[in-house]
Amino acid sequence: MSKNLLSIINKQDVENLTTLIEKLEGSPFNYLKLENQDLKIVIGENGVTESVEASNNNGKVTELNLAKPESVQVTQQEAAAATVEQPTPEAVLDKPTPVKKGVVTIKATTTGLFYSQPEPGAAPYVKVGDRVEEDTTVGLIEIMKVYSAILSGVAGEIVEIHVEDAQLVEYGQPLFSVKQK
Amino acid sequence: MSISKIFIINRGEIAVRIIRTCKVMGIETILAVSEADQNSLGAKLADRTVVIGPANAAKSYLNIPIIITTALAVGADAIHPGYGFLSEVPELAEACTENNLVYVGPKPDHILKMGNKLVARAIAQESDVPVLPGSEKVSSYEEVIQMIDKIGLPVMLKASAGGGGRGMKIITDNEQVKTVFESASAEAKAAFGDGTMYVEKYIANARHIEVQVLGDQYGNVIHLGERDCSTQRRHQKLVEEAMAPMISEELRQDIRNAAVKLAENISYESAGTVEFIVDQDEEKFYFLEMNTRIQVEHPVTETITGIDLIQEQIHVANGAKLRFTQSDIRFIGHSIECRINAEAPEEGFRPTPGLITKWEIPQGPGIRVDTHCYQGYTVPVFYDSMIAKVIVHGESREHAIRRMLTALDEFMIEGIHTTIPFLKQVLQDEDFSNGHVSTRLLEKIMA
Repeated sequence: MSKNLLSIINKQDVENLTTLIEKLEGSPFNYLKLENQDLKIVIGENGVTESVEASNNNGKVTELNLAKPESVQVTQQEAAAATVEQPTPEAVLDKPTPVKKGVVTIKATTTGLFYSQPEPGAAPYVKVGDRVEEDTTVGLIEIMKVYSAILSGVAGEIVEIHVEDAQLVEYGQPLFSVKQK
Repeated sequence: MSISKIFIINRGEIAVRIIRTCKVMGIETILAVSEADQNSLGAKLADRTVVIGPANAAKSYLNIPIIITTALAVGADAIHPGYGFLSEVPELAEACTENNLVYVGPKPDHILKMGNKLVARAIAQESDVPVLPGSEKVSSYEEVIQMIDKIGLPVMLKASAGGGGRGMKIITDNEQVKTVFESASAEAKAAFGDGTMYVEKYIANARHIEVQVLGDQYGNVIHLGERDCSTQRRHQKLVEEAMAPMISEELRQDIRNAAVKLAENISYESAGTVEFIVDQDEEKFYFLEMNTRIQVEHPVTETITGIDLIQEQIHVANGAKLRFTQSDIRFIGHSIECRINAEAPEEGFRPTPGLITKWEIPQGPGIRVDTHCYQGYTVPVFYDSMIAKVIVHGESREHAIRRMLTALDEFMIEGIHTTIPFLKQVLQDEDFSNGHVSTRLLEKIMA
């Protein structure tokens, strides 16, 4: 972690940031940008991903990764995975607009092996017609024996499953279509 | 075991280059692409592509767990790393071994040893290959003087923590030592937080000459001649040629033999390159480093030897013996390669990514173009700016230069700036034409 950054952000700020991240997870938005003269903070995915940019008065820019528990990381990634028909970040900031109701695609945020069920022979996490909440686990992704839960990221009904169990999925590949509530 | 399906984990022209040889060998190709490279020529030519991650290389081309997972999932039996990215990372070679994948390259141990400058230097000394005279560390100006007594003037005083030319001072006379050492050390301390200095023999009139070696699992090592890569801008090679011009036959053979000796000493496998710095005034050469991968400039060697280096890499990785002995290797004519970059030379070589609106490559006898670009392709902003390599073959160096100039004249690229005008200027420079190349040639041309 950068020395510069620690001199800009104090403990209270970190706590505030943590609260903000938690609020963001519970919201339909996946991106938040805060900016004033000296400091710019970006929380979320969409390429900027999980990084904080801070510039001090000398104009030096420092970056650090927010250390987060695994579960939070998955939630954020998956929240970002549902990228269809998202309002632009600017629109989010200026005037909170509700996400359009419609069919949203849950996409793979990493290349890896997709598993539709917790273990061989078990029932799949979800099937067509199931209702899911934002934090519903819809599958697993394995990268060299490391398994991560794929969370829905949106609330609604599974209308289509695009992948099969134990299949290689590629970064950005559609996994599920969800009709939003 | 014979390789039948290769997972290529690189991009750009080298991905295309590897795919072409695989096709000739009847090997199926799976190409790893980032999200930004889905439309590259390599993606069109490979039997299958897999998007392994976003444009950010750390999350795609450099991610070993994703690469291994994908290789196993697609049923590949080998991985070719190309150059750059993971090509000199021992962990990838190790992960391949652990997962029963053939790594098309040397053993992890070779990569590890040669990746450490001090270990590599020690191995060179052990193999009786000359290394640049110098010290590990000097902590006072008296020690610098002791060193100068040993290796002679001029010397280069370098900051351990420095780089890119910063913290380097040339000492040409003993009177200067105290002042230069003290100011350089203080400067290094202020700039890098570390005042540690070391001394190296300074070579004013230097050439960069490297030797292509090829080894197999049975301890056989041969060389495929040397390449001269002295024509560099800020340590980036721009023009490379084989064979090296204007050196004595004795020096040429000594350099080649030194490279083989070093590679033999570590039982090197696969294609590798041993780099030397040559002191033109003293007719002496010193080991710089060994690259444990295929090089960007490998085509000039292929051109004068007629040997496909990628094919030999795969052949050796399959566990086969080298198909050539040293006496089988013949060198025919002269070859030059120019690296074409998407950069604006007139604007300080600013990178110029963007859409290529016109792309007509030069053709004709003795001309080869290795590229991943085409008309309508957008050069992405995420990676290095090399868009093509033009390689020519001539019966003599003079002939090759003329052929290169013709080829560069014919190369029509619109939509982005390229370094072609600058390369033409280099090729027409009097010193270059006469074979008087040195690592400072471009400084002179650009001055």
